[in-house]
Amino acid sequence: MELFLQQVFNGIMFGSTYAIVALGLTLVMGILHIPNFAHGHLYMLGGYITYLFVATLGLGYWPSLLIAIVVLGFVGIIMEAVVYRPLNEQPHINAFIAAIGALLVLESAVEVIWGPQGMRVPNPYPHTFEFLGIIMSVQRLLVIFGAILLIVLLHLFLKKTLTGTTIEAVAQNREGAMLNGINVNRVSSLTFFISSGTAAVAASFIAPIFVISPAMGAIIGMKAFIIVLLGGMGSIPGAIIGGYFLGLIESLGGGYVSAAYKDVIAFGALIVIFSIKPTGLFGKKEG
Amino acid sequence: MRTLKCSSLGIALAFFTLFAVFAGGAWAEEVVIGYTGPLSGPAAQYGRDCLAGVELAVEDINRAGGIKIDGKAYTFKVASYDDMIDPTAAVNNSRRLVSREKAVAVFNPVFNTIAAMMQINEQRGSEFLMMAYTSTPALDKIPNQLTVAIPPPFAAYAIAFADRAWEKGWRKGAMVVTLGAYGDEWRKEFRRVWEAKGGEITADQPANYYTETDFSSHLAAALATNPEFLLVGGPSDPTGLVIEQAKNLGFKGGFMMVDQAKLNYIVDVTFKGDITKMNNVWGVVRTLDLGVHSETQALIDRFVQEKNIKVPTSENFLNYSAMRILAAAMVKAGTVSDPAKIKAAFNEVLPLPVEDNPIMYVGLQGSRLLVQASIQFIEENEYKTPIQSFWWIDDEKELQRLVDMQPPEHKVHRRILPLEGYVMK
Repeated sequence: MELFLQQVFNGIMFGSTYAIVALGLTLVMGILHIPNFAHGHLYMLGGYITYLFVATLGLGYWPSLLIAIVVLGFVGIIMEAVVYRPLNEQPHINAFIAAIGALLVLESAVEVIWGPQGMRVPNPYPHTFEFLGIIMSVQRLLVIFGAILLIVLLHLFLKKTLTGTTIEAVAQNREGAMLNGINVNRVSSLTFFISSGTAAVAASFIAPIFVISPAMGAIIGMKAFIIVLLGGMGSIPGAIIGGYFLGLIESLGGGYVSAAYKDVIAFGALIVIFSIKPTGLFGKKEG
Repeated sequence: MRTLKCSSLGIALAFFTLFAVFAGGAWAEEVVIGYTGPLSGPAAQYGRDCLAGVELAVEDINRAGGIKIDGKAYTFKVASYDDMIDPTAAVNNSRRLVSREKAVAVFNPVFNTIAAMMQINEQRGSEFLMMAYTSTPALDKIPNQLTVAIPPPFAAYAIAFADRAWEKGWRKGAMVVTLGAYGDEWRKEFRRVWEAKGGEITADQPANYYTETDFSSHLAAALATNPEFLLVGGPSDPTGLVIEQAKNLGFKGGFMMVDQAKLNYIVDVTFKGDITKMNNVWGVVRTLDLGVHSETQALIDRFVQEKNIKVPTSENFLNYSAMRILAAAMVKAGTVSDPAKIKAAFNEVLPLPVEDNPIMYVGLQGSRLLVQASIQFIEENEYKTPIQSFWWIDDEKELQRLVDMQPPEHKVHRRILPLEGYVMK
């Protein structure tokens, strides 16, 4: 029982990061119909920016996190303007290739600047304690509750503010939004800012627990894609539930069956869900 | 007018003589040493460390004037390609290195890719010497006349760990080792050795150290079986993380690390010099104790200064040694282009003088270079005296001979650990 609870705790913590990263990806994908393959790499860069400010420049953890959000947000804006916007009217395949180019640039740049070896961000809250037989650490709890807070804030922003609703409007009908006087380009920039900023939050939360390396982006990026497809393209609840779902599957599957089959289980679940519901769990029918 | 003509003729002659002198003696031909390995991606650090070892050796040899064969001088040049641990890429790279760069030997540090390269390195007309940096004993079972394996087979480490664990009264162990051919072989070998002693493996939870970010689910499952020790390991960075996470999960037992993970790297890089976080961890010997401290420290410093490596490891050192031995073997064989002859000369040049190479390689048997397998423990906040295992001998007299070859100031415990299939007849 304790092992089960421990695995559930681990799964939720994993799921929290997955959910945040997938959330950013689904925002961009659903709203701009751009498959931002470089999303995982923005996450990776977020980890390095946090490292730069915490470990190299000696700033506190929280200020560094805020800086990472802002820096990454602007990287997102630049990426949208330079990589994706010129391809707006072009066939989709061009944006695909551009995304892969962006991903390679980010990974190589980080490798050149910081080197290929793994690096560690000092843990601001290394304290561990036991609760109901589960061993928890403060930083891990922070990941879980931070993710919930971020999700709630993002929800409020999208639903309750005028700026937020413009994002939804563009998602629902691009031309219609333009006819209503919404500046679609500005919405695109904003969406990229939020998407990259949330990736930075996820990376900053997780960086003190793990090792950051240039290759970490590819793995999480791929997982985020699975989650977004699983939850339904562009669906925000889909990304959140898909994120926690994948986290739990991985940790329970890894703990009880074998870690060697972790990916088999996760991808297997994806195939099963698709064969039952081809649009994903929360996906709407193309109409 | 006439004098002017004469003197210009004289100058031309002088230049010609000078040129002739260079061409005959100091004018050196370049010998290309190939390298293919992971230079980008998750294993990039490992691949670059191995490459740096080869490079520094080449720079040292060139600085000393290269090598001389039949009065002709040769210098070395390293040509390196990235294969990202992809066997197809490694094979293509080696073909390119041999045909285009005319490389006679190619280094590679990963068993998966080495196995693929060993399929082609004996093809007539494009032979090359496979310089294999892998401790996987499976390599020795592949028949190949042109392979030189650089580190000791890890079976020696597995037995040395198991023996000490047994002496300590431990009976139950769990494994959270990296996935992939290398890790799989390690787990299989350790299980075999440990169960043969009568010990028990309570859990086997392999994890992909290259892609995984959190090991707590594997560890929680392994620790739930109450093991007395954990066998862990893969690349050093994530291995440090596994150790930290296991301790955070309340594990109080011992750790053994597979030979890919390095004690001093984890202490100095992952834990920023805090050795207390590595108490009760056993691993392969730290770089400093690979030889006499004054010699190894000098080479460590040079890797730091010249190759910009923060914490030099045995990847740097052993590849350095292998390159030095290779160059010496070329001189002995009297050729820079015949891999079979060069390999045949390895046994004649070993051991090298200690100033050329601080690690005591004593010979070559089959595909495997003979070098002691040393393990070390971190206990009570310090590195304990390492234990050297001589895995290719089974009698005391031979041990004494080998010990006498080592500099007396090298402080280690020594033992005979005859490995099945490796003992010299």
